[in-house]
Amino acid sequence: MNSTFMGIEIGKRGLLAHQQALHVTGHNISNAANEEYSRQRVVITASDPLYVPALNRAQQPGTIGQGAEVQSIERIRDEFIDDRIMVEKQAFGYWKTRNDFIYQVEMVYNEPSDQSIRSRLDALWEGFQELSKYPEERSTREVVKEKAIALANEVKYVYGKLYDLQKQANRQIGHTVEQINEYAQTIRDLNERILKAEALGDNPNDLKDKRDALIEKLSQLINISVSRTDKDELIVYIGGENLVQGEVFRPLVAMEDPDNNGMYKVLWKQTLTDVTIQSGELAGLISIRDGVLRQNINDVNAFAINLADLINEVHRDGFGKNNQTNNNFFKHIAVSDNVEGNFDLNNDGINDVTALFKISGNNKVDASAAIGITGTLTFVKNNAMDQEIKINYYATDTLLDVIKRVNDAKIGVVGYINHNSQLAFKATIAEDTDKKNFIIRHLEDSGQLLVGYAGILKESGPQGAFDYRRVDDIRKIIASREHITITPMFNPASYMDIDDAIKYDIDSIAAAKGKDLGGTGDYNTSNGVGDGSNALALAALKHKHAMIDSNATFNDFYTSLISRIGSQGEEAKDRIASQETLLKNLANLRESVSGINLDEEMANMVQFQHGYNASARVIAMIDRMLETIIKLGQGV
Amino acid sequence: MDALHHIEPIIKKEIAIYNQLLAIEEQKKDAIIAFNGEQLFLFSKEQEKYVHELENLEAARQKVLNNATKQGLQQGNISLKDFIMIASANNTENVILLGYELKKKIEKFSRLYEGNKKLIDDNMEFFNIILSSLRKATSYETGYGPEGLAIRSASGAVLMNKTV
Repeated sequence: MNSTFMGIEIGKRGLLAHQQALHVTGHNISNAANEEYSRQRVVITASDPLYVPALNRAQQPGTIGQGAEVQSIERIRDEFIDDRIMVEKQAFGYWKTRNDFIYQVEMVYNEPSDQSIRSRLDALWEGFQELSKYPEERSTREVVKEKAIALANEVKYVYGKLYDLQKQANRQIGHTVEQINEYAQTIRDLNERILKAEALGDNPNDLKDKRDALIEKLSQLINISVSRTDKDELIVYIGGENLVQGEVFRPLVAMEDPDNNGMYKVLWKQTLTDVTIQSGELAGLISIRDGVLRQNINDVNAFAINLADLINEVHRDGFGKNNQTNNNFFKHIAVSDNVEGNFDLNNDGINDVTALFKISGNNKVDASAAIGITGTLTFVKNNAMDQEIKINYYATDTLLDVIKRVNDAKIGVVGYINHNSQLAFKATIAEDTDKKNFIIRHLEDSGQLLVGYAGILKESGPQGAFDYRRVDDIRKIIASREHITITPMFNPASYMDIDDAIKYDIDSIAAAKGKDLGGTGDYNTSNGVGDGSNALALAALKHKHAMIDSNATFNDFYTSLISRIGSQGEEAKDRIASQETLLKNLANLRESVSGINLDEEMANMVQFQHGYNASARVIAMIDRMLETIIKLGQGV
Repeated sequence: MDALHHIEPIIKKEIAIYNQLLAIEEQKKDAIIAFNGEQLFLFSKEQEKYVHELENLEAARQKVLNNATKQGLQQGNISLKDFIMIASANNTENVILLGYELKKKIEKFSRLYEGNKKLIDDNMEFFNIILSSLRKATSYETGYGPEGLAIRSASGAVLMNKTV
């Protein structure tokens, strides 16, 4: 049988439930401006009714309601939107970082402007052109010298700035790893608190909101995925490995990598294994440092060494006003002091490779005539595999056909016909490691093209092949030493400068060509101070198809470099705009689910207030009923 | 080279069409966010018109390249660069720049298209989840029967009620 005071208890329960509901509504309203907050709602359920099935239950009809109680306080959240936002934030972080750095790279090139490599280079070509007209005048020589110095300084400046950006990206990688660890540690701590709260039967909604906000921040830094399948253990993965698993946190560490110029490598601290980084700011920084910036630095290096070498090649053939010849125009610092090109690549104190940048043949050739011989050229590709590449040539081919075939194969060696109509091969930047930049890896010919025809190798077949992995392999080359350029010291753009002979005596600029007096087979005498034909040959290099890396002319090379960075910048901007739109749309969707609608909250407040008032009325009514009973005993 | 003079106006027209497509794609983005399906349909119809024009220009370009093949270019995949290599005209640089411009427009369009596609996918998935939640929510407890009729007073049915 019901207790006499049961009605008061039911009223009290109603009061408490509605009071709690009002508190939650107030909490929602207070957090209306909090972006990390998810709206909460009270789940009010009926208390267990009387009676439970039992033999001693009262003999009266059941079930009798016992009022209401707060079952739980839930937060309204949608996992689908959370996961989508996480994925898009990763992409946003990646592109944002790329955009920031690419913008700075564009600033370094400073195109289009009067103070850029392109304008300085054009000025040098014009200088040579003027010199060819007035080779005897001191002023035109002075102009060439100053323009060359300005160009070299611009190249050094661009290199320096790109290198600074690379170091800055590297530093940021270190900071980002620290930040990831910090967020992950806090997520772990929150996991612990949430688990404890849930163990007591509570719903720690605000802690969960904090955790979700941190996960979202973390997702902007690195590619994470979250598993929520285990109620007691939220897991945050990076590339399938656990960063946080419930109360366990596995930190990352940024360690200097000797194979990458001491730049940071991101590893799992406990196992020192690689972390699979695919997106987020960290991936953006790594792609910028090892991709965009490395490529740009290498391109500026390729520009510097090719420009210096081609100008030097022509310049050495000419004569200065002071009758000097065989002088370089730009400084060339070889990678090794060894005149044979032997070099200690692995830094163990012993020379282990032959490092040659360029080899020109001894023989003049007609590039557009059929070669009339067949055979196979063998090269070694400039990647870590040192993979052999074979290129056939046939009797009906012209040398230009063969050169095109070699250049199209993109094997790290490009061929061209030099200013003396000789076949020349030179190395490009390496795909595997910067230490192997500008090293010809392998030259082999089964026939006579590189041997008797072009005059590069002494012998056909494997026994006559040049291979960089052997020391003293320069002996396989028949071409004379002035036709060979030893690989330059690392980063030739960083020390680009005009040769001292030119710097201290502008009369050493070789504007004139020479003639062969006495039939020595060599141009041993200058054509005289009034001859500007060598300066003209230098100016003509502007349009020479000399395969600068994989481009035909310096202008093509530079245009493609600038276009590439331009389109990379444009892509980054477009991607950011797209990511912002996607995130905005997702935020709107989330807002429609988890956001606070003040109108709705106000309506709830009125509803709960009425509920509260009504419950109070129930208590008052029961009170009056009890009064009637009490007065019965008093005989009233 | 004559072919070079033919290809230049084709590329220019293609760039102009891509500009139109880009402008429409940009407007589509706003329509998707506003869930304006009707507007989206009209934009798509308009784009279809431009795509037909592009097809015609593609065919014209292919014809010019085929003629160039007869004039000395090798068979197979001919890039604009290969084409220009054999051209002796003075305005090769202009064509190269137009080629870059066209490539940039195409890439920009495909990025924008990709973004809009994701927006549509997100919205579709979101509403599919809402609809499936609604179907699941048609139970006795929520106050609605499978026919959607109110059979009891609602006890606080909330869509998307997922507690994480």
